[in-house]
Amino acid sequence: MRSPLSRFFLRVLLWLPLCFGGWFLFAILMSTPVAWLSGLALPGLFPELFSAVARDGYLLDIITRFDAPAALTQGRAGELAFGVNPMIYGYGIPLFTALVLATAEEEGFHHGWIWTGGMLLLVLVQGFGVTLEALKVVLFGLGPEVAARAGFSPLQRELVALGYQLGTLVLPAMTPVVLWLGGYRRFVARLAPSFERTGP
Amino acid sequence: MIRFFLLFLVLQVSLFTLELLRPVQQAVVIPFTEGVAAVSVWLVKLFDAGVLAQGNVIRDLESGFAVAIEAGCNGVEATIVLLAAMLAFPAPWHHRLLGILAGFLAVQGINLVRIISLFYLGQWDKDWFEWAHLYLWQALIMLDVLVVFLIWIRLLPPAQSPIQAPAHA
Repeated sequence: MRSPLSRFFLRVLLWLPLCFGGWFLFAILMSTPVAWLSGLALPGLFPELFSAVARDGYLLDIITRFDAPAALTQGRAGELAFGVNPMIYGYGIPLFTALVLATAEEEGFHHGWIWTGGMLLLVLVQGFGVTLEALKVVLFGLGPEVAARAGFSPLQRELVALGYQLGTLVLPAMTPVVLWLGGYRRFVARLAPSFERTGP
Repeated sequence: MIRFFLLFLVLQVSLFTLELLRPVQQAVVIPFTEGVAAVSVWLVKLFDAGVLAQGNVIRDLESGFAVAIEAGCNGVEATIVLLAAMLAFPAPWHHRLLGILAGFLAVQGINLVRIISLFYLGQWDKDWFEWAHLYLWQALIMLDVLVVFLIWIRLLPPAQSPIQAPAHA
């Protein structure tokens, strides 16, 4: 007889390949809100650095206000652009969905709003990751001339570096788990009764 | 509940910022990462002699294929998430310390499986390597953290109820 906890995680592991498959199958669709968000954030918050965010399949092209080196454009005028993969910040979506579906098998899917709200937050996490990666590339990846023209103070540069690391290494992994723990408190307390001591 | 999540977030951000400081990187994270590479190679050499560790790089001597264990691949961030969760959760200190030790071993154990599996996956197919490296294993490691955290909570002793004053007749 398996414990409720091992039964639950077995279900999560069974849902996970399906959720990952669906997530990647619809990668272009999944990157649409992230493209829209970063398209608002980058030219909106840093108009002197970025002019637009364009789609290239599920990848994003970040178009800057800096001139591309003449050697690359064969003498023609062109803006410097680079690619970002938004899916790197989005693997929390299939993980969160697998956790929700495994929970729904026991609880019923009557907490659809938790999944919807979770998805919105996970898209924000993706948008944050893309925005900070774009800033990191401008400040640290395109050479000292571009970095100097960006006009960031040393403290601002450090904050961008910290935000990028946080947006890459911590937020995409941690957010789905925190959302699930917070959204399904009563169910979690059934799996691990002492969880109730965190209070309502 | 809110206190737990707030404390968890504060600890998480503080520990993560601490991890990124140059002295901590030099004294702890880089030597630890090289240790992870050395243990991975020691494990691989149990069944495959043609492997070499150079700092944080694991190399296949025959094909020349190599993987570098970088930030995010050494299990430190996942361990920090678990550490922050266990420190934020109301529990006796000796249970916390036992949980942190067992959790560290569990996270690092699954991370070694991840590194070794990626090392061989990369020699077989680069696309599948990228997919597993960037997406799948990231989710599995965090699932491991969640499993360890919930098992630890299950094993905690029941919370002591406040001592009641003796009733007077």
